[in-house]
Amino acid sequence: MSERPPHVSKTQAGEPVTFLEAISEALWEEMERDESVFLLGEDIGIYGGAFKVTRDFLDHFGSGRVVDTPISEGGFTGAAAGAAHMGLRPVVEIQFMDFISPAYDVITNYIATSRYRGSGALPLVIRGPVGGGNRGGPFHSQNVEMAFFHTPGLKIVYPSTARDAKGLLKSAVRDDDPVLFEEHKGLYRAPYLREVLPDDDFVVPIGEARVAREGSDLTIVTYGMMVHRALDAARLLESDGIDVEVLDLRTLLPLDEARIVASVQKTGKLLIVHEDTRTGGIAGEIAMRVNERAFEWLDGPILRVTSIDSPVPYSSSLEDYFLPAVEDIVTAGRYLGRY
Amino acid sequence: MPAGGESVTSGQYGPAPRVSANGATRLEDLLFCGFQAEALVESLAEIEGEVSLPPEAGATQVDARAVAIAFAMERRGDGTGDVCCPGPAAPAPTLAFGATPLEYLRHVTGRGTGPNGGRGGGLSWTDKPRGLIGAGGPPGTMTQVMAGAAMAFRSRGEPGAALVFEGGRAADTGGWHEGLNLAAAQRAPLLVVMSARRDPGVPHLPHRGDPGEAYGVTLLTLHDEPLIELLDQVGEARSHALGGGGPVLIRLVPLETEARWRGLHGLVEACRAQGLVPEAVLDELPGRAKGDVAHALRRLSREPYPDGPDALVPVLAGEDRIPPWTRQDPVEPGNRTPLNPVGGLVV
Repeated sequence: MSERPPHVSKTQAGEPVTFLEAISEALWEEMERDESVFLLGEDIGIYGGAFKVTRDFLDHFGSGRVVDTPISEGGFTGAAAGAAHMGLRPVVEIQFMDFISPAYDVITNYIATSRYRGSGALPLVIRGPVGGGNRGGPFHSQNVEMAFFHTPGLKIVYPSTARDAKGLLKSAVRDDDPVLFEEHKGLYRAPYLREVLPDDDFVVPIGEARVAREGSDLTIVTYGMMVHRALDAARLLESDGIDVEVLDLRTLLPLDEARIVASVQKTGKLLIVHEDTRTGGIAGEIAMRVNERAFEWLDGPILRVTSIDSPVPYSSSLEDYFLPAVEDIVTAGRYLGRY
Repeated sequence: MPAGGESVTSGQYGPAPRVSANGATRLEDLLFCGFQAEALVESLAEIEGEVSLPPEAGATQVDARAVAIAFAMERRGDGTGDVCCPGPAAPAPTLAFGATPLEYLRHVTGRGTGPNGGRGGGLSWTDKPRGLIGAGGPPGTMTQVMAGAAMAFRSRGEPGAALVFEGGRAADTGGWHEGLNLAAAQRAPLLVVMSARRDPGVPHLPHRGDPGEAYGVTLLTLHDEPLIELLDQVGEARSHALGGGGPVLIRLVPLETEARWRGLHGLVEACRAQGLVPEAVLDELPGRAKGDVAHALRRLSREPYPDGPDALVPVLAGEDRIPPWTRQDPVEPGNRTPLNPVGGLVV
């Protein structure tokens, strides 16, 4: 077995890591910690993955634990379920999460229902890159969370920082229930996300939102790439005298309803921001929960800033128009600030 | 009543699985299991309409060969043996892997006392110590899942194999192809049983020359061979898969309805002629097996269906299920002020 390569040793060396390197470190450390953890996916072995998340893993862990599969998302996700039945902890990579659709059947019909059906929990992680802004067009840019949000029996995680990516992925691998783990590819190598992580076996609990910025006038609930847009907007709104609290959901399912409600009870106003498209987006569910739990605390309408109901466009000008921009968040924030 | 979400284990339900070693009692057990399966299939046909049965419970594709195929596997009942997804061939492989007729009836009729409390589908019964993995999803799904189970044996260096029964037109599906293709690429010890339909609406894969050829896997076609031969053939197929040969496709050529259980009677005669099983045992076996099923059927009428709240078990570990707010104590609109400061309408 080879030595641990430098690109998955940066935290050990006290160096900052990117979002992507944090994910690689998490996988490497979990595979070192637990022999039942193994990876499968397209081109993850010899090629090291489309984004190189698993670069050098094959050399170190061998082909028994880093399995290059045929192009068959349904097949290898189903096989992961079978391996999980046998006591292994598979981590499936979907090369682009847009391609998770062929596995929709086995995820929703088989994997998510297993515990409920008395067939035992299936501890497996399905992870991969999501999100737009990379000129990937309709088939390499989607956010897939809401296609699965409606399915009882799944957990959905969507981190926005390197620390959370590493800590949440470790939690996901150790979780006894199936976890869908979305990684925004725009965050993978973003320089502003490089940070030095604790050199210990830290985990971030699934199901807990994080206050990314404290404020008193308006709550922005968001996740993933939009956390950073919301933080940019919050800085601009500060000059308008609007003190914005930004809540990073981190986990979408189960939703941290308590922290959302607590923040709304503090600020009285709620803006939900997500990169996913508008209709059927998570904003609708959050608005309903706040309506049920904190209606009396609201001092204004619940608003949302989202992508437009459209496939993700290819052309740069169209995609920029399609995606939520900082200016959109600022506009909505000002409206609510005046309300 | 099993705890919600917990995997069912053999010890929780009924006696220990009646699984013999591959010794002198093997044929006796195979016959007993086969006659039980035949009686169960007949019983299900009789009670259909009287009780709630899933569409697949008609077990139209079951015949004695499914019992013998399952008996060719390493059935240990302690979690260390082969694994099997009976799929549409249930109840035959289910019984062969150690389930009792009463357990099966409880399960298939959705009783609260069943292995998953009436929550799963008719084929969805997983019992890890016995080596049973329940089916779910459309045809073909379980070839994918069992490919993974077979890969797990191989990756851990354990001498186990996975067996999956697929029915009807599963071989037409993408799921079946992806599962078999992956298992073939991994040389995983997987045995896939294809039940060819007698009258397919369209020509489908099991009717073609050698459907294993394109996958580079071995094909074993079974007609109406004596069960004792079939036992050996499938045993050799299992050894081939375990020895690194990779998956084996087992094609079941459809039998006429009246021939489905004929193999059992042929085996009785073979055992009698060759003195393999004592005469007295052979004489009383069919009656004893059918008596067990009749007893289970009588008992079934006293088995309760689950209460509504029983179905509301967690789907995630440690999850609190929130009933609809209309089944809680809603706050009257006239009493809204002051509201529960942290609760609102939903507790």
